[in-house]
Amino acid sequence: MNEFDGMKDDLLSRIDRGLKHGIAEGAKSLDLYLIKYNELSISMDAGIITAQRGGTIGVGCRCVLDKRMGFASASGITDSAVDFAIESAIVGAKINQSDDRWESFIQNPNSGKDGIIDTSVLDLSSEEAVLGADTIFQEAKNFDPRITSVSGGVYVGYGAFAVGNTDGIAKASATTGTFGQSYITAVENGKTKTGFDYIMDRGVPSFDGIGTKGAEKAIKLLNSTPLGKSEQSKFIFDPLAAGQFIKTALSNSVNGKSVVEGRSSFADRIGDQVGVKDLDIYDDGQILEDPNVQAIDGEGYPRTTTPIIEKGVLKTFIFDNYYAKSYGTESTGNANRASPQSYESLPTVSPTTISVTPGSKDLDGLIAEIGNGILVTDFLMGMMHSNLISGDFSIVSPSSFVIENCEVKHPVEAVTIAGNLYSAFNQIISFGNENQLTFMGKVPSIAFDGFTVSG
Amino acid sequence: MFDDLQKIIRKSESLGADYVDARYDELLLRTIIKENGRITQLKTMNRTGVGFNIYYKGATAYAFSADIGNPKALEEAALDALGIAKATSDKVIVKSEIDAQSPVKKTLEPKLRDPAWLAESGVKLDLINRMESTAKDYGKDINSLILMYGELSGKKLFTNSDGTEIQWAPYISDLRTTVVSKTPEGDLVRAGDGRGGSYGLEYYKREGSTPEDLGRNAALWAKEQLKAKSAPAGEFRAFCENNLVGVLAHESFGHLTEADFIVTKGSPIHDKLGEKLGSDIVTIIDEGVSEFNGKSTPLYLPYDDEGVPTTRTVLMEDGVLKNFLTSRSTAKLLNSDYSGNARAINFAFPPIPRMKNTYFTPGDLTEEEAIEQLGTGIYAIRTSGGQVEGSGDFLFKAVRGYWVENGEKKYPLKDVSLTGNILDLLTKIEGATKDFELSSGYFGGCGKGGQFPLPVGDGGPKMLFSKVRFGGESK
Repeated sequence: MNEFDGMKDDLLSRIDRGLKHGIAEGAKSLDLYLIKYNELSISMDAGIITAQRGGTIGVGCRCVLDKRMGFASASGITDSAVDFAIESAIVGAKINQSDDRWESFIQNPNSGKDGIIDTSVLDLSSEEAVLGADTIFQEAKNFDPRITSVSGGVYVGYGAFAVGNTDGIAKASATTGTFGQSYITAVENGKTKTGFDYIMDRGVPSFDGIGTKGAEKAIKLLNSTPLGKSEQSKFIFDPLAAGQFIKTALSNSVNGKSVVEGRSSFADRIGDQVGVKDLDIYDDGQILEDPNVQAIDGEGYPRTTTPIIEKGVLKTFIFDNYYAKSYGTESTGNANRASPQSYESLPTVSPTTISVTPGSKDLDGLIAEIGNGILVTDFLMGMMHSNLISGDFSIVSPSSFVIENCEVKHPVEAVTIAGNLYSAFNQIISFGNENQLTFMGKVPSIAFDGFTVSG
Repeated sequence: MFDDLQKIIRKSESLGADYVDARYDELLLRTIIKENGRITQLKTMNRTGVGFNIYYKGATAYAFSADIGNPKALEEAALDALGIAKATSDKVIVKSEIDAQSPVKKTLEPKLRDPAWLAESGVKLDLINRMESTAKDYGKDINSLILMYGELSGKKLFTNSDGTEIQWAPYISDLRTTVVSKTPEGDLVRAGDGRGGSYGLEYYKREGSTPEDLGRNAALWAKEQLKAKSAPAGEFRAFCENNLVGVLAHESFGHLTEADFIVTKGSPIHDKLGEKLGSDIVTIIDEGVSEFNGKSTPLYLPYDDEGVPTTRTVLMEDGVLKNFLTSRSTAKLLNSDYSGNARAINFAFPPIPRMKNTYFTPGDLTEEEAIEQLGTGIYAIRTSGGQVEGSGDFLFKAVRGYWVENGEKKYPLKDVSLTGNILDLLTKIEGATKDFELSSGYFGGCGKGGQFPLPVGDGGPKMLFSKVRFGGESK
């Protein structure tokens, strides 16, 4: 038995004991979520080292009495923590009102696949982690004299969570992963610009190049000039920007909870053409190299791959068990327990990893196709403050470049980009051919026509 | 508990630690959320555990345990942190160190009327239900109605190598609602209202914060949004309401004064102490516990998470940058006083420099005078939040507003984004009103370092800006 099977078994035996305790306390219907996740994070900020053994360890319990639900959580997974959560959830259920939509906890006995379990994370010492952070730090610091501040960080984590309920379900999933990042500030003539780069892996990757790439980005932006106009334009969003954009556009519109509660403008549009004909979007919960992959969701339902939009046609909403039953369908394995303390969160509907089918053109091909416009890279500011009900967005891109006569010219000072998230599906000109996993999903570059840019 | 923690501190010191602190949290949080007539969350959360922060030869490391009944598990956490600090100390370039202080022993009991955590759940359900029925009475074409109540209570213990022993009791309550209405064309619009802070339940009997007031406001504002127009894009004169001003104080300016960004030179104002950065009328304060203009800070925070009493920290005075927000180790690096800003969301996280109650001080205009002085421009109200880059570039979303022409409110505006760079914006402040509002709460808060949501307070007067860039809609 490997270490991860041991972690899962430990959690499952605590769930088994907890469920028996809950039944003895008078609860007929309970589910328990236990997590033990260990994380070592080391960051080097301008020569100052901060290290943390962090992680998540705790228990969440849902109890339902006559369709009335209570939820309680406790930090830690000791018997007393588990019992506190169970007993408080029972008290909560007694004072709640009856919910006629309630049917049951999940009863599906299957599991998806765990992601790749790379045990090298268990062997990574604090010394090795600090060397990784130092590599990132030194690379960036020595890149250019205009760099004034450098942060390098390495985060290594592993652990497992388990879900069990009084309908006979008991499942667990384990995970491993490493994340490395650089965040760089460069200053010239009073102008401050920032750049970053990162790597994520289910094992322990090399940290070479992350400092250099982040530094290059910050230095490049020092040459930015104001756009000096406001106009409708064509855009290419790079994979990070496009991933963030698509994820935001889906976060409310295809969320089964929003659909049931009347807050989605896609609520009655299943089967409709909502985007261009070559748009395919999947909620892909089973990309095994993805650090976010799990075998089961936050209430134990198997993670899977769900087609959301195929050939531009809206196919499926994503659901947890409760909203799936309310809508009259089955869960899609999208019950999420929100971080940082997932055990404190009731399952909520949210996407796993978004993937979009790539096209055939590389970045140069996309640039040639649009001729003139704006290349938007890296993170967008304000994406999450879009109006997710109407779809209107107005965001700021701190790192964009002007495309003129089929060539990328100079960077521009932060520009505002405005449009509508849902109309955007029909404003896609073309998809890039990238097929790699980023922090924002498996989304290629996307060229759009018709947003407004000003700056 | 203090004795157990002191034993572990002494043991860590005997193994080489230069300084150790231990924090014990025992917090109880309760949430009730009702959506469209159904209670979707009735939640109790217990956060109990101990965290150790260890300093060794200029390196620091943090570890925690939630297994508080097991002294061995607590000791293992401290020794784990010490091991990590030892492993990393060779690579330290700039040392993090703590100067010894005289020990302080202090226990503060909560002082408030009608503590929320002692009240029956039925009392809190009643607040939610009253807010719901008022919103229904005043709303129009309501599509979705969300009602939220939250409270935090408990105790926090702090002890360290100095021998300090502090115990105090944090408390927060919060009541808010969001109303979504549907236009005849099928578009969904929303508005919300809410109040919260370190208050007992008597607060929700005061005018302006009763469930009826909150439900009615949210419903009427959502109704007004049914006929609101999109704000034009471009640069306009602007008048920002108290809640939005508070978030500007916190998000766009306050974070730039946090000492971790100063010592690492990540903040664009790290070398600007004593320089004039804002217009003459800009004074920005960050403080833990006080009365100002007859209003107490909405977040009660007597000590930070390094056992330092919170001070009234003047960040900017008459436009001049005066102070930064420090933790003990960053204060030593900056050779400055302790401001009491080392805060952590709970025992699982190390304290980092973060804000307390951050606000702009009031001016001398009435609202009518300010709107007249605005002339033509945008009156932007409340915010759903925003984002800031290390460079000072920001984006904020105002949730509603008015188009003002020649000093007269013409028509309501939909949500609109404000963008720019804070250092530029501070020079554009022309005036501030006399009225002064501070707010805090259980829902939302500061998200620095992944520690979300940490309760903070913010606010100020309403403020007049000579130029702000508004995002507007697509053409």
